Amino acid sequence: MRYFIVTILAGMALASQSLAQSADQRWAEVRAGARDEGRVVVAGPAFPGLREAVVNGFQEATGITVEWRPLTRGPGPFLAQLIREVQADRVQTDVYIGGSTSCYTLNREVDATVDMREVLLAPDVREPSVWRHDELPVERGGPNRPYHHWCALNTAEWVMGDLFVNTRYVDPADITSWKDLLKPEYKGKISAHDPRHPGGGRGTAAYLYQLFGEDFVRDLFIGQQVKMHRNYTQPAEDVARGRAWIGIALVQAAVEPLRQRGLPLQRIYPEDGPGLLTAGFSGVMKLKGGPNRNAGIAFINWWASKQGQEIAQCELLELSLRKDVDRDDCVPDWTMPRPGVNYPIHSYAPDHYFGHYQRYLDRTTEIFGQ
Amino acid sequence: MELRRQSLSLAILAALAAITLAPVGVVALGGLEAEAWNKILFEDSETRQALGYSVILALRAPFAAVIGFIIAWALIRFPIPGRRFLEFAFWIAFMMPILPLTLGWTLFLDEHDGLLNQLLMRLPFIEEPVFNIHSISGIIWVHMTASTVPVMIILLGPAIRQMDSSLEEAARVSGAPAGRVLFDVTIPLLITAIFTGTILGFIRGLEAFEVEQLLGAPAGIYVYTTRVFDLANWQPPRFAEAMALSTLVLVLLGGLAFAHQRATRNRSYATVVGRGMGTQPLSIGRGRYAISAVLFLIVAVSVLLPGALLVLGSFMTLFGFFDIPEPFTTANWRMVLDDQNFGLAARNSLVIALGAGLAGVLIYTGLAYLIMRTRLAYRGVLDFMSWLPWCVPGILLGLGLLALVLYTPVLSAYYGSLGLLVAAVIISQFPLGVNMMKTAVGQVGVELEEAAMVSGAGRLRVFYDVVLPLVRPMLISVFVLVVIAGLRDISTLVLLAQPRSLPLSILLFEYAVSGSKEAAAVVGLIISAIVLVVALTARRLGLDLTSARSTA
Repeated sequence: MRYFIVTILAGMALASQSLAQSADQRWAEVRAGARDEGRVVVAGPAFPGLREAVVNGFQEATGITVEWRPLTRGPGPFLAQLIREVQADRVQTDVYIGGSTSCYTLNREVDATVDMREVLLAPDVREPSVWRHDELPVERGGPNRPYHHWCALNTAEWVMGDLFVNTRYVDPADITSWKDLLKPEYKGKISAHDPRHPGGGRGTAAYLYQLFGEDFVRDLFIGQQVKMHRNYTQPAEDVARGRAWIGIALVQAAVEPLRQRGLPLQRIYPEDGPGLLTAGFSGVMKLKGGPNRNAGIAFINWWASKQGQEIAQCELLELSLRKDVDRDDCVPDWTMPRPGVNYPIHSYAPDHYFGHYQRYLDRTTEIFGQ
Repeated sequence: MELRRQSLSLAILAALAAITLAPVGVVALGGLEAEAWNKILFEDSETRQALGYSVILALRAPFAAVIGFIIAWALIRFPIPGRRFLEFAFWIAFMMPILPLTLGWTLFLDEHDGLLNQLLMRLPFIEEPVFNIHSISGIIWVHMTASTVPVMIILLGPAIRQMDSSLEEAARVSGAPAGRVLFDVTIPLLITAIFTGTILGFIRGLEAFEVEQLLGAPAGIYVYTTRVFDLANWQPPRFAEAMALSTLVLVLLGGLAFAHQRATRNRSYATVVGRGMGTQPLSIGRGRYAISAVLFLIVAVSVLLPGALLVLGSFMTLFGFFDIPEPFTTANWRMVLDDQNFGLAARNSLVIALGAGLAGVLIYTGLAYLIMRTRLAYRGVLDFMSWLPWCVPGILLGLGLLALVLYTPVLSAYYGSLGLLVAAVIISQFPLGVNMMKTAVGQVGVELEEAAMVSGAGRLRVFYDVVLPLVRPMLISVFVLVVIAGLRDISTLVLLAQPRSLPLSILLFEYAVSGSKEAAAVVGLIISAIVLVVALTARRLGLDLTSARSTA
C-alpha cells in the first residue's frame, strides 16, 4: 500500500514537474514568437496616464510595441465592434483590458476569448501563491453555467458602489441611506455612469437592484431624472462643476485628478449599502483571432507580473491582488475595504453575476423604458 | 458601336453604383426588419425624440439663409473696407474643423464654469447662469457661428454676384428706398438661390454629428446621427434599429437631395442678360464703415473668440476649471506631442488627405467629363448618383462602408486600412468634386476638343492634353478642398478608423468625448493650424476657392 501511495505521489510530482516544464517551454516559445511579431494591439480604459505607462513599461520590458486602443466611450462600442470583427473573422485586437464580466456578454454572442489556462505561462504569474487569495483570480462561470472556460484574469479587488457629493451643495451628513437620494431636492441633481451599459454604472445599479429592488432603481434613475453618461469622466466632472450635486458610480481614475486639485468631491458610505467588491477595470482577456497571438500572451503575462501590476495599480488606482505589489500609496483610501465592514457581494462573482445581475439585465428595458 | 457604348455606360454605372450606392444599399437592406421599424417608430421614445431634435436643430437653416444672405449681400454690394479679408475670413470659418471651435465655446458658455456666465453672475441682478452650451440653443449657436451661416454666405455669394446690379440701381434711381429695393428687386431675383441654400443647409443640419455628440449627449440630447452611433455601439449592438432609423432618414434626405437637384438642374436666376452684367458696388456713404465694423465683429465672435479660447484651453490643467490652484500648464502640449499615437495619427491624416485629394480629383474629373462631354447612356443617372453621398450623413456612410467591408470577403482585407479611409473621404466628397469639375469642364470650349480630335487625337488624348490643362486651376481647388475635408472629417471616419489607421481628427474626437478635453484642445489647434496653412497657401498661389466652391 505504502509503495502504491509513494508511486502515486511520485507520479503526481513527475506529472506536475512535466507540466511545469511544458509551461516553461511553451513560455519560451511564446516569448520568441512575440519578439518576431514585434507588436501587440491592446484595448483598455481611456484613463490619462495608463496608456503611456503601459506602452512604455511593456516596450522597455520586452522590446515589443504596444498599439493602445483607448475605450473612450466605455466598453460597449468596442465590444460591439469586436463582435462584428469576430463574425467577419477580422479581429484587430489581441488583448482586452476592462471589466472581466465582459467575457460573458461577449462569449454569449460569439466565441471570442482564449482559455486563460493556455495564456498564463510565466512562472511568477501561474503560481497561485503570488495572488492574494492563494488562487489564480480567473473569471469563470462554473461547471453549470455557460462560458465556464477561464475567460479572464482579474488582477485587482476594491470597493465600489461609489457615491459622491459635491460638498458645496450637499452636506455629506445628509445622506446616510441610498434612499435619501429620492428626496425631491435632489431631482435633476444626480449624475451617473449609464446603468444601461456595461461598466460601473450597470454594476452599481445591479447592486442597488439586489439591495432595494426594482422600484427603487426606477424611482432613483427615472424618477430623479439622473443624467446618465457613457464615459466615466463626465459624471465626475458634472459633480465637480456643480452641474450635478451627487454622483453615482464615479470611478477613482476620474475622481482623483479632480480631488487632488481641491475640487469638493467627497465619498459617502450609506449605512444600508456600503458598497460591493469588484475587480473593476483590471480584467484581462486574450482575444481569439487577434493579429499577434504570441505578443498578446506575452503582454498578459507582463500585465499580471509584479512590474505590470505596479503600473496597473498606480494608473487604474485599483488595489492589486498580487501580494508582492507594495504600492498601496497609489490607491485612494476610499476604495479600500473598511475595517469592520462586511462586503458580502462581489460584483464579478458568478453567483451575483448570474443571479441578481442577470435579473437586473433582464429588467433593464422595462425599468428604463427602452 | 451603339452596343459598345451601352456596355461602357453600364460598366461605368456599375462602378459608380459600387462606390456611392453600395454603402447606402447596405444600410437600407439592413433596415428591413419589421420589428426594428416597429421599435423606432412606435416603441422607442428616445429615438423618436432624437428625430424630433434633429428636425428642430436643422430648422436653423432658413434663419442662417437669411443671415447669410444679408452678410453676402453686404459684402458684395457695398464697398465696405476690408471686404476681401472678410470674405476670406468666412471661408476660413467654413473650413475650420468644428469640434475644436466647439471646445472653445464650452469654455465660454458652460453653464457653471463658462467665463461669460461667471462674468455675468458678478452683476448684482444676475444670480443664475444665463447661458448653457449643453442645450439645444447652445448647439444651434455653435452651428450657426462656425458652420451654417458661413456656408450660406459661400453658397449665396456667387448668386448675388451673378445678379446684374443695374437692376437695383434702376430701382434706386426710380426713387425706391434701399429696403424696398432689397425686398422688391434683390430677394425675388435670388429666391431660388436662397431656397437652394436653405435645403442644403437643412440637409447638412440633419447630418451633423460631432457637435451634437460633444454638447448634446452629456445633457441627454440625442439627434438621429448620435442615436444611430449610440445604437450601433449598444451592448449588444442594436444594428437592425440603427439601420432602420438610417433608412428612414435616408429616404427623407434622398427626397430633399432629389428636390434640390431638380431645382438646380437648369438653374437660372433670370438676371443674366444679353449684355455684360454690372456688379458695381452700391454707394452708401459712411454707412459702409458701420457695416464693415459689424461684419468684423461677426468674424471676431465666430472664429477669433472660440479660437482664442481654444488656445487658452490647451494650456489648462483641467479644462474649464479656472478657480483651481495652478490652472495653467504646458503639460498638455508635451503629453500630446510625446504621444506616439499623435505622430502616427499625423502621418495617417497626411496619407488620407493627400490620397483622397489626388485620387479624388482624378475620379471626379473623369466622371465630370463623361457626364458633360460624352453621349454615354444613363448620364442623368450617373449625375444623380454622384449627388447621392450628399444625402448620406457621414455616420451612415461610415456604417455602410463598415458593413460592406466586414461582410464582403474580397473587401474584408481592407478593414482597418488607410485605403478604406481614403475611399470614405473620396465618396463623401463626390458631390462637391464632381459638380465643381462639371462646371470647369463645361467652361472649356467644345471647339478646342473638336480641333484636337480632327487633328487625329483620341478621346483619352484630348482629355489629357486639352481638357486637363485647361481645368487645372479648378483641379487644384478641388484637391485643396478634399485635402481639407480629409483633415477634418470625423463622422465618416469614426466607425472605420482602427488604432493603426487613426487620423488626427478621430484622435481629437476620442480625446474630446473621453474627457481629455485639454489634449483635445491641443490636437484641435494643430488641425486648425494645418487647415489654415493649407487655405492660406492656396490663396497665396492665387486659387480662388470662394468662386470654385460655389459651383457645387
